[in-house]
Amino acid sequence: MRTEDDLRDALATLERHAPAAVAVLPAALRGRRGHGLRAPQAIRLLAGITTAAALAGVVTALTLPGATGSHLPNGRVATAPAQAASSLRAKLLAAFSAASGQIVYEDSTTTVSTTGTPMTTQKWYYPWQASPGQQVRSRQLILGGDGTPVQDVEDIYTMPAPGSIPAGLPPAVQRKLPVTQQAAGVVAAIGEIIDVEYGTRTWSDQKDHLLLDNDPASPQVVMFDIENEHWAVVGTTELDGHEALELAWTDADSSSYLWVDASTYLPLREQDTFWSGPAGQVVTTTSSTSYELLAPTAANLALLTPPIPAGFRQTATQVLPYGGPGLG
Amino acid sequence: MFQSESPDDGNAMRFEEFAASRLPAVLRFAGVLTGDRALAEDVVQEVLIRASRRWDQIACLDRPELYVRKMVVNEYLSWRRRSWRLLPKGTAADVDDRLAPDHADRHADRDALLAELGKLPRRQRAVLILRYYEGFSDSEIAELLGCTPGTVRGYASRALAALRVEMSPRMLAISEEGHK
Repeated sequence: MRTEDDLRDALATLERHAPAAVAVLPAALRGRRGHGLRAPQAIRLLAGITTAAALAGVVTALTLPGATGSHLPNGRVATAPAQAASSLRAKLLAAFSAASGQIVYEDSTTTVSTTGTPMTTQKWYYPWQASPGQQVRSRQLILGGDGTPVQDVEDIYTMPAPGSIPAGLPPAVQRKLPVTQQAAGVVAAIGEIIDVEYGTRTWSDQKDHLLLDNDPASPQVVMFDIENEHWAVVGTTELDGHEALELAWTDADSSSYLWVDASTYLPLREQDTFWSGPAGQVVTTTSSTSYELLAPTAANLALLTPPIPAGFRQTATQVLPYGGPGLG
Repeated sequence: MFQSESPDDGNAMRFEEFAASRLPAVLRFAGVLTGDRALAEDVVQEVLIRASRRWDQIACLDRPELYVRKMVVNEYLSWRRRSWRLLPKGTAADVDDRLAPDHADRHADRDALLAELGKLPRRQRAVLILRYYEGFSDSEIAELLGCTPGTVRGYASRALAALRVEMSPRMLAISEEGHK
């Protein structure tokens, strides 16, 4: 005769059938650019999987077609001539390449029209453009509507060779990985996850954990977006005291603007708007992200590690907020 | 269990917060409930799409994550009705294989138990998972499934008998008392 504990143990093994969050995300929280993919931000948000600099994928994807006369969604007209755009693209790529060993910091606020309440994430990713075999550290801090922390997670892993798929990856993700690698630089790896959960006042340090991250500066991403997407140069403007180049990217369900420093050619800010849902029930998601590149000093590298508040209890794995037998 | 908070109290959980903090647990629950990752994926995806569209109402509930679990259960229970045309043809053994675990590193009896679990009617399976995986009381399960606690105990009793699982004295007493 079996016991109830036998049953509980058996049921726990079925957790391996849990789908990846990346596979179930509704369109309202899907990220950039369509492609039918779950975006890096969505991956980070929903899988407890952290983070990377979405920025780099956006910017290194830059193509600057001859935009003269192109009408933008805000009614403005792109003005940059084709030759200047081509030159600018080369300068941007050179600037990003030179900064590949920096820490990229993102401060992003996203608002969904159905709720109206902004959500803020802060992200650190190092090095900005990791090579295969290089250690990657990425941290994402999610803040609630009142500005207090909700979740703080660091991923530490070795950048795998392009196209490698670790054992244990859910089939649904395996199927999509080649596409997401190409379009969004998503990387699957085995690594360490340090997870601080403020809701449950717990934290965990999980070794050899399967994780998804994105390497947005990968050559695959660059080639894919150069071939399939197009930024257009809008012109120049002043942004926080910097002379900035304003770039735009629009498609059927999104509109994005990106500002880069006109002298250093490094990114400053991005503004995205996405629409999803059927007519009459359209959900608008807006996201504003500021970027900063930090030198990898000891003080800045310390920013990659989530602080563990006093009194937080260490657990073996991420706590299930309402799942345990103590419920009810 | 699902009563509303005041919509003006500012404490309602946003969908993004739910997604960030609660979704992993819901995903695990769906995986256990269905025993099939592809089905779990479809079920949760469908639920999240619907939940996100009316999250402003769900968020005002006392425990929105519990309501989402209810949506997952209902979606799972009704899935076959809506998608049976899409199911691949095959024998019962094929279906069992889909629900069976990897045998390489699993204990034989646990494998057998899971295989038998896969043969249970969905409502019985759901009751066992809500009770023994989620730790819900029979009253909570009854509310989730839209039936009486007595019906829940009936489902559980039949399912445990089919699986040859002996109820602990404590659970037996709880069951007989009609409480958790």
